[in-house]
Amino acid sequence: MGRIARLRCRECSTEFDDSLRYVCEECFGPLDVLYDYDQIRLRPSDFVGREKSLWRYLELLPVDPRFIVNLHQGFTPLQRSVKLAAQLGLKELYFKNDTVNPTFSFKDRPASIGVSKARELGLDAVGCASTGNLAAATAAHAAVAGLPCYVFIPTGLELAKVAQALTYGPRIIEVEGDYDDANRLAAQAADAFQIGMLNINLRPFYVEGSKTLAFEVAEQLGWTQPDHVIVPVGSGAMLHSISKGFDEFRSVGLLGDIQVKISAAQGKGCAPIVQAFKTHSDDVPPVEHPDTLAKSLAIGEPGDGVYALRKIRRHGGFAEEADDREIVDAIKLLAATEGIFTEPAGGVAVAVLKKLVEDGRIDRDERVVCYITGNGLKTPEAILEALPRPIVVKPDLEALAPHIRGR
Amino acid sequence: MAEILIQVPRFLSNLLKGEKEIRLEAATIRGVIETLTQRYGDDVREKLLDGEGKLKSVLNVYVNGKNIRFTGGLDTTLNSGDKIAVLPAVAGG
Repeated sequence: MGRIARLRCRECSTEFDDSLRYVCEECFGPLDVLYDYDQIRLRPSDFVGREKSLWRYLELLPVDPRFIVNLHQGFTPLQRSVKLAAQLGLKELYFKNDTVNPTFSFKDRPASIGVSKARELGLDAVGCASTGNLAAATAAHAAVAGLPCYVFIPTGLELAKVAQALTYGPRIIEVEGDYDDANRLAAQAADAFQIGMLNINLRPFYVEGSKTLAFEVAEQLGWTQPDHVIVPVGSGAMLHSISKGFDEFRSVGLLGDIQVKISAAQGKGCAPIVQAFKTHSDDVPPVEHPDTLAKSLAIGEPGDGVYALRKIRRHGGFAEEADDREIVDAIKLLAATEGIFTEPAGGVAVAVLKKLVEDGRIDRDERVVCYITGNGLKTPEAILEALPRPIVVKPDLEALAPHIRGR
Repeated sequence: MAEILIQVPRFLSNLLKGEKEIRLEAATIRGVIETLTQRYGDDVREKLLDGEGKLKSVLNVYVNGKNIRFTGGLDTTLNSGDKIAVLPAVAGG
């Protein structure tokens, strides 16, 4: 059962009941869901035979099980790397492959909680502001839940992402502007029309879904923690949530003291958290004109930026960026070595992983997990230019022969 | 002095006595905050500004959709017809 004790302000610690609120009334800080950790004692044996989805962690999820919208989200493969690990000289490297979720990105995790909670709270419409992945995830969950859905997207989103989202049947509002414009309008619409916007007024509950990325990694590593994780970062919510996930497993007795280094990966051209990290700043100045191939991370005003920065610094993680060329090369590298086809956000993570290993910021003995957050089928335009073209031949064996190498 | 419109978000509703829209005259954002403080009480200034008199980092203020962090902060000048929106920073993304 979602045993939520309360919502607590991350800034001033004021507490509130489990209700539809996302901003502290005292200081306007964000709210976190907290559970009665003392009353939740879990052991690895408790998980044997449980559903192979993120719902296996129900004790630490903020939803009444009667309202769950279940698309069997999560519990995705933790793939042990062989070829890329060898190439980088890493002894133990894993990829958390979230490309295979029901709507093909990790957003199925927070969306599952957001839409379920909206039902529990009796809301009659849901929506979100999205760079693409959340649009599809929200629309799919809303469709299954039978709720009207309003998705706010910026101009210029990749066609495949829009097509996918549209197919589930929501109303998609393309805002003339960038993501931050879409987000702002969605926030105003949430108030004006009483819509449960997953990443806005349902945010404290919604982000709880992303922490299952930490839960699963710990479970899949045999109930131990990795040394270092690489996380692609847009708003910072996922990174902050992953950190919370490891901490909660400690709180309920499933892990020992948490020492996981968490490193952020952003696209150059929209890397406000990386800039703040590198300039030793505690503030995260917004980026006015985001410009990166990694459109799913192109959030100029990251709502959880400051908090993600603290989690990065907490155990000695890093924040690094990758330019468009590096992102494309990394997408190809991951596909060619591990058989995983990712969209640019995953490419950013792999590119940054490579940089951190090559310059010694990640030690070769570290046990590393790299989060691959979205499927490459969503963004074919991103890499088309960089791909070789098929070899065209007449249907004739002699014409073919020169193209078959080594034969 | 410019005549501007403030769209009041739900989370500021209590602070601004339940108003959904507020029209007032001000030359800058700083002026807007001062006028609101005069109208609705000292709580307004105390809750919106930090100890150094700057806008709290948990808040974003927009004039016609543009974040004032890019236009001079509290000294952002206003023109008649401008629309002001306020959002918590946590709503970003």
